[in-house]
Order: sequence, then C-alpha cells, then structure tokens
Amino acid sequence: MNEVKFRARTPLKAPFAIRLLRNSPLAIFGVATIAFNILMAISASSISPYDPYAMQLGNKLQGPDAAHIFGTDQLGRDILTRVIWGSRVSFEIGVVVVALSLFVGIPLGLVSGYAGGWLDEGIMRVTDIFLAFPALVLAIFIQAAIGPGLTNAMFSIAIVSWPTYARLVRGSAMSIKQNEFIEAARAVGEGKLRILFRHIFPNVLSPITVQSTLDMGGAVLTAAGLSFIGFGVQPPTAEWGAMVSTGRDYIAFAWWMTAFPGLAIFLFVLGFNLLGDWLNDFLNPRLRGVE
Amino acid sequence: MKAVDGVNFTVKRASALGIVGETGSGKTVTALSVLRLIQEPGKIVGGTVNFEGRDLMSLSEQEIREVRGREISMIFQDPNTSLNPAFRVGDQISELIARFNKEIRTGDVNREAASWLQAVGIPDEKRRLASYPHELSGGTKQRIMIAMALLSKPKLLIADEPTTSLDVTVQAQILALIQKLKAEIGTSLLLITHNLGVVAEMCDEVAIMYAGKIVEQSPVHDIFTHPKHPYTKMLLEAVPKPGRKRLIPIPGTVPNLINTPPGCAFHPRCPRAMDVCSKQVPSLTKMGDGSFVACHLYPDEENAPKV
Amino acid sequence: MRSVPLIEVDGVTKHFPLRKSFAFLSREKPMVHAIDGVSLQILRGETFGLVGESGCGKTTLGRIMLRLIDPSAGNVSFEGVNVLSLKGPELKKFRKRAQIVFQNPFGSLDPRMKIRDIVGYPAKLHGIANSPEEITELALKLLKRVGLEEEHLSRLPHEFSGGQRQRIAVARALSVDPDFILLDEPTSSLDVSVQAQIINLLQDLQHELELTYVFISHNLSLVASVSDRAAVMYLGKLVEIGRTDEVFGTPTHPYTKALMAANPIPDPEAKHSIELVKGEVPSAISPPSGCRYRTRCPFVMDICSKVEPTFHAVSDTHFSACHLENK
Repeated sequence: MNEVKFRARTPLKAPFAIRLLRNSPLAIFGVATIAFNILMAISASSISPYDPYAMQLGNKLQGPDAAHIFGTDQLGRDILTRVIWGSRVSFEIGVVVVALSLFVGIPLGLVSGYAGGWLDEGIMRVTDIFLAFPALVLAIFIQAAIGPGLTNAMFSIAIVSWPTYARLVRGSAMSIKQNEFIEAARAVGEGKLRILFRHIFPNVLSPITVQSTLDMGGAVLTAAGLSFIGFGVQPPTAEWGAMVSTGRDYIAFAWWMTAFPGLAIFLFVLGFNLLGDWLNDFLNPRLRGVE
Repeated sequence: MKAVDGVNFTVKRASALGIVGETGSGKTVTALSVLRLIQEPGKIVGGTVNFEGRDLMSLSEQEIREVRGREISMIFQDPNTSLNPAFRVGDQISELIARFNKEIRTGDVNREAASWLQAVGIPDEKRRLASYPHELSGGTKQRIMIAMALLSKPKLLIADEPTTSLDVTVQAQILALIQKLKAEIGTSLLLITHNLGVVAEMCDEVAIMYAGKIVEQSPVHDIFTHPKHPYTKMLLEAVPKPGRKRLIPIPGTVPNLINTPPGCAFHPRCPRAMDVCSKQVPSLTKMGDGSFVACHLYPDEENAPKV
Repeated sequence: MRSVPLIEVDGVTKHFPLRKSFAFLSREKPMVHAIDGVSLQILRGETFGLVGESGCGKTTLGRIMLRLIDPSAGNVSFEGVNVLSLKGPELKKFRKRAQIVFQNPFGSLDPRMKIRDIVGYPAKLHGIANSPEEITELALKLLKRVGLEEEHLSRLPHEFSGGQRQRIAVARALSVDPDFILLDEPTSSLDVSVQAQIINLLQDLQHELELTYVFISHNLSLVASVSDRAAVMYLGKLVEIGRTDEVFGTPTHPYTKALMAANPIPDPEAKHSIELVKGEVPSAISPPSGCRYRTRCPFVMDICSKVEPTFHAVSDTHFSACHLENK
C-alpha cells in the first residue's frame, strides 16, 4: 500500500514575503524610499555638507548650485542639510504619534470590542466625539490651547489619531470574537483576560500594522500642516513643513525653499503609503484562510 | 494548473447526467465551462461543446449570451448570491420574462410571474413577489432560482450543488420539484454534486470525476451495484449508509492539481495499483455494457479482469 | 458499556433576545425559542447522536452541555455534579473533562498560533505538562496519534487542509485527557473520503481511551452509522429518542419518518415512497402552540394544536412525543 504523506502549504515566513515583494514594483519603491529616509536620518550628521543652523547671511536666497545643491534659505542656511536633518524630525513625529495612539487606542479598542455592553457604548461615544471633527482642525484647536512646539504638536496629533485605532481594534476584536477558536479557548478553560491577550490581541495586529504604516506618513503630513500655519515646530528647528511654510513668502523668487522640503514630504509619505498598501494585500488573505 | 483535463461526456435529451466528485475533481469547472462562465485567471484552452449541432465554444460573446438562461440555464448552490438583494423578487422574475418574450404586456408579465411561483410551490404568490430576497427562506429562494432558470423552458438545466445548503426535508422538496418540472418541460439535467444519495435519486447516468478527469461513467444502477474503477468502489465504501457501522476510508488525500501524480492521478491511493499506473495515464475506455472506465485494470473489453 | 449516566440534562430551556439594548423602548422583547424543556441522559462510553434541521437547537444544546452558553432554565449535571453552579477552579476542572470539536476547520484554530502551541497549550493550562520540552513531547505524541507528523508542529493552521485541521482540533481536544467530547458537525465541511478517515479516527480513539461522544450532525446516514443512541430535535424540542436501530430503523414520530424518507440514500433502488413533508420550519420566535410539528404533519389532529405531546414509551429504550401514540 502506498503511503501518502500530508503536504503542508507555503508558510508565512520571511523568504516567502520577500519573494512576493519582488512581484510588486510599487511596494519595492516604497520600501526603498523608506530605507533611504532611514539612512538619511541615521547618518544626518555625517552626510550633511553644512550645519543646519549655520546662517550665512551674505549667501541668502541662493539658487541651487555646486556649493548648495538645494540652494539656501532666507537666512543663508543650506537647504539640503536642513532637508536631511528634517528626516529625523519626521521619523520622530511618526514614531511618537503612532506609538502614543497605539498605547491608548489598542487597550480601549480591545476592551470595547471584547466586553461589549455599556463599556463598549461609552468608549465608542468618546471616539465619536473625536472623529466628528476633521483631524487637522481638531489638532489645531488642541494645539491652540496648549501652545506651540514640536512636543505639543505630537501630543495633539496623537489625540486625534487614537480613536481610529480604537475603532479599528474594536471592529477587529468583534469579528475575531465570533471565530470558533475563541470558543475553543473557552472550552479548554482559558479565562477572559488570557483570551484577550493570547488570542484576540495577536489577531488584531494585522489591520493595525497597515494603519500604523499609513499613519507614519499621515502624522508627518499633519505635522507639516500644523507647522505650515505656525503651530507645531518652532524655528530654528529644521522640519519639512515649517520649511515649506517659511518658503511661502519667498516662493516667487526662491522656489527651492518650498520645492525641496515639499518633495521630501511627498516621498516620505508615499513610501509609507505604498508599503502600507502592500502589507494590506499581503496580510489579509492569509488570515481568512483563503488559498 | 489543469482543473479539468480532457473531459468527455454526453447528456441525452430529457435525461439526467450526474457528475460526482470531491474537492478538486473539477466538477464545478466542468459545469461552468459548458456555458463558458469561466472567469479570469482561468481559461478554457481546448475542446468543444456540441449543443444541438452547434459548438458553443466557437460562438461569439453575443451568441453565447443568447444561449445562457434561454436554451441552457444554470442554478447554483447559494441562492443568496444568485438573487440581487437590492431588487424585489417579482421585479427580477419579470425582467427575465420580458427578456425572453419581448412582446408580452406588463399585466401578462405579472400574471406569468405569479403562476411560476405557484408552479414551484410557493404559496401566497403576490406577497412573495413583492418581497426582497433577504426576507425569504433558503428553500423559497432556491425555488425562485429554479423558476427563473426554467421559465424560458430551456433544453438543458445545469444544477451545481443546488441543494447542498438546504435542510434535508427542503432538499427533498426541491429535488422532487426539479424532477417534476423536468418531466413537464422535457429539459435535460446536468447535476453536479458530491452527494451520492442525491445522484442515486435524480440521475439516469453518472460520471465520477477525480483530479480533473472522468474516471468512470455508467448508468446509475451499474455505478452503485457494479462499480468498476477502484476510486468509485472505495467512495461507495466510505459513504455513510444507515446500517453501515464502519466507514472504510480512502487513505491519503486528493492530489494537488499543480503537481498531479504521473500516470493515473489516483495511483498513490489505489490498492490495486500496478507498475503501469504510475507511468501511463489510462484513457476512458468503453466497456461492453455501455459504461466507460479510465483504469489500467480495464485496458479493453476483452482483457478486462472479472472483478 | 456501563449504563451509568455521565451527563444529565434536565428541563433545559434557552431563549435568546432578538435585539439588544432597546429594552427601554419595548416591554415585550421578542425572543428566539432555541430550546424549550429538553431532558435527556448521556451514558458513559456511548456515542449519542443528535440530529435535526436548522433551528432545531441541537448546536445550542451541545453548547449548554459544555456550559459554553448558560441556559435560561433547567439543569445540567456532569457525573452528578451541577455544572451550572461551578465557579473558578472547579469550572476549570470540568473543562478538562469535557471537550469539543467544532464544525468549521477553518475558524476553530487560532491562525497565529503554531500547531505545537494550539495542541500543547491546554495541557499547560491544566498543569498536565509544564516545561517547554514536556509540552512539545505531548504535542508530538498527540499529533502522531491523529495521523500527523513531527514537522507539522512548527507550522501554522493555514498551511493545512480541512481534514488535517480537524485532526489538529481532535488532538487539541484530547490534550487534556477528557472523558467526554462534544463533536459538533465535525465532518460536515469535509469530503466523503476525508470524512471517513476522521470518523474512523474518532471511533478508534473512543475505543482506546474509553471516551463518551455526543455527535451532532444534520447528516442522518452518518449519525445512524456512528451512534449507539440518538435523539431527534425539532424547533427546540426533543421529539424522539432511543437506540439508533429503533429511532432510524423503526421511527415512530412523524417528523423522524419524514426525515428518513427525505434522506437521500446512495442506492438507486431505494426511492421515496412516503409523501413529502410540506412547508418549511416555522419561526422560532413564535413557535406553533401545542405540538410544534403540527403545521407540517400529515397526521395532524385537533388535539395537536391544544396540548403539547409528552413522551410515550415505545419500548424500554425508545420514546416518542406524539399524540398518535396515545391511541
């Protein structure tokens, strides 16, 4: 009698992911852009030709040339240097905002989705209030109340971001709760808290991963918006949004002051968006068990 | 990946052919192919479908669309996805009636829709016609699907697992309904199912599929009393039957269609596999009693061993 | 087989509210009568089949037996102990003794957990295996017992076929060394040949480990094949109960007869001779008065709409709830 061995299917491992990644040129571009930005941020001090705060008033508003590839701003500072250093601020904003949002949003979403009832109603009404306002407008109001500065900007952006995660996690938790493996966990004797952490939490990670990736770019965009209107980062910090804002007054004859920081924002956000989209496609079919 | 490989069968006028198979057998793909309903990324790469003297594969898109729903109708397993949830049921039926009979007047359309509901055993026709699909039970929806499939009095009805999602008693009602209407209209039936009981009840001839090929085709009585192909035999032993205490399983699993075993796809699981089975694909051979088998145990009629 | 009841279900009723939290607005909340006053016993060592069509309550009854759902009324005892009053460590001990295998092989395994953990964790939870080595050893032993290999320990559920996942689910159920397993449509989504493999596995395990099974299914032939005793449910009520050969071989209740007549048999000689039952299952929100089956029963009498039938003994072991028996 012939023995038939059971054959297992392709595992959700790194080599497979990389092979799949190769099929998506957009995703590759996204990853490349992000990697580029990371490198830029890490090696900012070594690769910048100048000091980001060094003013050369005699050299102000110079167009792009051999000495200043991106030109200089109204205080004679090298724009290329400031763009490079700006990547650090951007990552700081993205990471801090996303981290804060997750820190608040995940627990609230988990409790809301798993417990249901009045707790769920209460938490959802709170998120409703936050989500009723456009994010940027609300962030402006909050920052107007607490004052300008980078830290306050990150704080206010996080405040408008966490409700999205709470909603996402709640929805995810509610649908995961319906699955039989949760009932199986109860049948085996696992308690509610254990189920929440062992089974529900790991399974809400996928949609969160996608959202977080997209939010890295989103947070930077919002921060740029805040800086643009004078909140957010204060001079002389090199932040792309602030640079675009300052360049506004000089745009007619010093287009490079807005163009290059603007391009940097664009690439940064685009990179994360492309990666986020790819992650979405990559993660979802597997969890549904669809071949 | 070949979902279906070189499948031949004939459906006789006013008779019923059942195609039986497990997952991966290719039975649904076969059914969809008749009406050229295969979607991307799948593609029909060869073969002909001879329908009343015409080859359906050679028709244009426009022409095959004329055939669908009119001369050849199809009903599916899930009535939920076959009816448009946004429209009332009466509108959906009426639209179809009007399509097949362009001159008919509105009053007559409604009357005909109501009479069709009656014909498929749905009481309280006026109220049902005004209902939306989600307000109706699974059995009722399936009856409506049958009405919609048969109102053009097609020559052939293809039914893909039409009762799998229904309760046993409702299933019996639906199968009886199909039998009755089939006899009244003179439609032929191509029934796709994994349920051998349903096939025994409904079909005159049965084709057993495995890994994209037909392995045996016989009149229904012969398939159950004198199965020839080892897969058929083992399938019959594995099926639960009242009175049968122990099911005899078929060891192993259906092959991965991307990597079918060489030769006969069933040979790794076959208790009677011989050397030739792993080398050569057996062809569907006609036997003396009118049945067909694709198995090296039956190379041709004269040398077929007595089993 | 010792005829000692392992599980006793007494007058269990379960009603589900139809909508949540509009309680303020309406006084009368519409309820779904999932189960009404069901009593039966599961004997140690037997396979007890539970059949019925959609809405009959068999799945809910199974869940109540395992206390995954609490009934609205009635009692469930396991080895004489009232399951509904258990709390904390006592409840946990009960969970160790009574396990479940679900219908859906695709939803019943946590997609993010490795097989080793799915199968080994329950044992850790109950202190059967403690160190990682012990867990791995136990998981391996269980996997082998259900026909899988060592290499499967580190894989994820989506890498397996439906049949293999059910084997994993069975391994998980066995991991805590239970006395009783509720099998809720364990093979309904599997191919015929795979189903036979799983059923065989379950039967071998029952023999080897002296397990008691409740086998829930809508597949009458399958239940008739694997069960020792069986019960038929309709719209939340038990209508017939007895040994398998009695219930399926010589059914007395009209509904059971209708089920058996409707059941397609893989034998072209066996044709339907009994008239088909008409209509469909009525709504569980307002079930028919008296006998719930009366709206479809070909033998309906006046009394059927007025008085609910009680169980009459057809034999020592065979009971049917129908007014016809009263004659």
